[in-house]
Amino acid sequence: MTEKRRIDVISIGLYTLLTAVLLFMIAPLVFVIINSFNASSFSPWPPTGFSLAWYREVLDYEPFRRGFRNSIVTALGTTVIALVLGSMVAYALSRYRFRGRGLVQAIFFSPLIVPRVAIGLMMFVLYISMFSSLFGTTRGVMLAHTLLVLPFVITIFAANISGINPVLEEAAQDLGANPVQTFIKITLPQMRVGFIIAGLFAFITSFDEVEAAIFLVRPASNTLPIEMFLYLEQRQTPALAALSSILIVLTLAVVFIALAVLRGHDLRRYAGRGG
Amino acid sequence: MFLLAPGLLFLGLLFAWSMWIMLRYSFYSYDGGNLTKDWSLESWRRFFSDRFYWDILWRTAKLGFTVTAISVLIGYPIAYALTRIRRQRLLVLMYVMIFSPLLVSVVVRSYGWLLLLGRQGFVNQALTSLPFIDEPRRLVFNSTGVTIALVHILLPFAIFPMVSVLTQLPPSLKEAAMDLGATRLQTFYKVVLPLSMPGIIAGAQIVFVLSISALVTPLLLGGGRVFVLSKLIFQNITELNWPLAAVQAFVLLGMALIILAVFSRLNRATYAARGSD
Amino acid sequence: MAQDDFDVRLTDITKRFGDAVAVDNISLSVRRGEFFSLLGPSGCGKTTTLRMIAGFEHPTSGELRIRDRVVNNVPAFKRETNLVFQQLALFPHMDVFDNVAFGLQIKKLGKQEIRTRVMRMLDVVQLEGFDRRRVGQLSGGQQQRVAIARSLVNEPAVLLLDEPLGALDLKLRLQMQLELKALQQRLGTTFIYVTHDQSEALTMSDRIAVMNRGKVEQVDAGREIYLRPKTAFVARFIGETNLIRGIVRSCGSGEAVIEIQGLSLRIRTSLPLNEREEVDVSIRPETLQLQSRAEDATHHNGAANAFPARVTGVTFFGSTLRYQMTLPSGLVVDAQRLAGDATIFAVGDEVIVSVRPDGPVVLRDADGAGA
Repeated sequence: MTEKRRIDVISIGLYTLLTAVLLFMIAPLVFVIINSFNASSFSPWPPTGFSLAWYREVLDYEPFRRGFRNSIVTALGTTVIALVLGSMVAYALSRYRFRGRGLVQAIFFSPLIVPRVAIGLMMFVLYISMFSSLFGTTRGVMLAHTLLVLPFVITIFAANISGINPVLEEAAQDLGANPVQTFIKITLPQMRVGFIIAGLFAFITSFDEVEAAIFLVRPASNTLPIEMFLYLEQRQTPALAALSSILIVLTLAVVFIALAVLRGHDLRRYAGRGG
Repeated sequence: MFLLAPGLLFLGLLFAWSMWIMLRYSFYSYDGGNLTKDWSLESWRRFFSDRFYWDILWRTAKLGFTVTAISVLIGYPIAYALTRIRRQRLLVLMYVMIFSPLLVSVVVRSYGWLLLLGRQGFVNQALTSLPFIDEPRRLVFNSTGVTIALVHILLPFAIFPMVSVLTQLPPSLKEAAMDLGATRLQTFYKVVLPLSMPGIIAGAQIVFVLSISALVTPLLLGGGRVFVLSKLIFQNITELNWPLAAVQAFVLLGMALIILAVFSRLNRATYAARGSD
Repeated sequence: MAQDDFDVRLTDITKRFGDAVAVDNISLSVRRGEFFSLLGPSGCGKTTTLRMIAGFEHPTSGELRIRDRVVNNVPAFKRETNLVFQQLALFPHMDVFDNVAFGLQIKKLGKQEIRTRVMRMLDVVQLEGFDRRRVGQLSGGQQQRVAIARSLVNEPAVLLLDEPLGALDLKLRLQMQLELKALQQRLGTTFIYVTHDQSEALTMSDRIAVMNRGKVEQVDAGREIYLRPKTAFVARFIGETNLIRGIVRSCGSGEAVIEIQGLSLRIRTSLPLNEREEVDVSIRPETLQLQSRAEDATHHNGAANAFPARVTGVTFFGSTLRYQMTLPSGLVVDAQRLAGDATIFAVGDEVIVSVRPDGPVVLRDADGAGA
């Protein structure tokens, strides 16, 4: 009986902590959203009145509009390059056993341990001294972001591919499909989950990334989060909250759509790998 | 192997080459705002002989350790609690909440904390309404604010690998331990905790590396008071002192590598202990 | 027999993986329309042999023919064989119809023809009406049928089956065995079936190749393999047996006298034996006769192959009884009798155990190898 009582105490403690942490995690986002409707630009709490003015202001602010366009282009480019390269590498690494496989794997994961700031600086000196045409362009940021997300994309695909039974590929060949047909008809459809998760990850990471990109941009190629950062250094009006709220809602919408599409797949397989 | 070629080419070109160039830059001369491509050890000497830089190095490491320790201590029970939740919809909702910081830019997150922790923010309003606190506390523009915001941002990275390890733990192991007479607490300490060590260590590694290289959060929430290595790098770039920035980037990388190696050694040690049991 | 009558012919086939020899210089011929089984314990090389026929492994040396065409290095997708996989390998992202239609779609047959053939095949495997079900919604037996239909619809020269019934429970397995056999007889397709389950092989096969350690020990009809095993391994692997070592005392005219621990046993055999040669003798438990000693006390000394023994163990197996008997020399043998026999013995009973000369089998290959 005493044993049982102690367990209840532990469980209650555990779930209390869980609730507290969940609130902690969403608190900044919730307050950003609340503040976006705040009529006063000075006192963040309590809100002094309801207003949609900040939304109007943000939507008309040219640097944000340009930043948004740049971010979309950068994130799309990053996603496409990372998915193409990542799926190929992950397929090779998880389907073939070859000499030096461990080394190749280590090479592909090496960007993971390099601090983002250092990656930003590395790309900066590379562009400055070798490819000056890339500096200050969305293409330059795109390449740096691809480097950042590639290890994650590879691990997501690897988790995905390891869940595809290689016997299925043999079965297709046995039924007359050549290797290319096998890949298109059997392997690719089952990598759908990997493409969705890895693509989502690459897109969101690239869209939001500041710490490497900030070394590589010129005003004309500033991404949205960099514009927001610069704005925030100057002033703290709820305009930024309005913009943030729009982004939060958009992102959550995309994530929930993806979750709905992926319903029925065990996503926990990807936990700890996609992070 | 044609599958690997494009990836290797990409990585070789961008990663290896740029690292090589950064290495070269760290040996260039910088003199009174001018960069010359003369070979020099000056930047390295300057960094390691100046107490100021050692102090920054120490602060960066301290921030990294603090954030890592808090993230693991909070993250582990959370990961454990998550594995006990059986209702799928609730679980999905919780995952979305926990990973929500990853879905928005670090700028948005930092801004949220400015709103919450600032002088006029919700937390201070709540605190001053308490009878025994009359003055608002300084919660941002110091290391407290930076630590809180970094834990918030990095906690998901700690929870990810721990959840993954805990869910892969076969329930039969726990049942076996209890069948052999262990209480729930003993089962936890002797079976669950040791077996989830790889997840804990993996989480700690990621959190540490990401926290020492954080730039935006210290810039926005640290004000002018919190100095970390990444901030110096950024500053030196704008001041055109690229050789020193390169040296600092290598020091940061070195710190990450050392900590990763120590943690990997720990991980192997726990595996070895398990193997000999 | 003309070349033409063989669908698959392996000549001196060897397969090495690095230093390990998986298949060691085997030769086999599978006749057209035959149900042929490769039987052996795990690791005996049977699956590797099947995968070589399917085209997923390529022989290190030797010649592999399918319908008179040497196919040593022909990839799987260009062969006239189809394989039913152990894990079935149904495509999870397709429904039943698309799974079965896969091979025909690859061959780019017309839509209407594909539809007709798939539907007919689903009929054959008793899955009519299941065409739009998702694979995951089917029971184990139904998935089994889909896998078989998916292969057979291509009308392969040879259908290869790699322990496809392994995952099913016993009752369903027995039912599927009979269905498979009936299907094979109806279609007349050559089946090559890999299994480690001797009863499965005996139930379905026209002929069985027993494999051990990469080699073929014996190829024969099931009845022959059971009654006339050629090696100690085969005798032990198929059915139960008492395998006893003995020395040839005399031989000639189709009969030999073998001495086993002081007892002389007359055995009918066509093996050319030499005197003083050491051999193995396989005696199936059901060939041993038991009589109460009191009942027949006067008569037993005259009879051939009759020896006194004591019952030291009795085990009940439903329709049969297993007696463990110890002879005065200490030799222990098992005998199997019907549980419905008039006389039932108990532990401690003194009995006469006898065997007819055509019961035991003399095995020359006395290497004692195998499990």
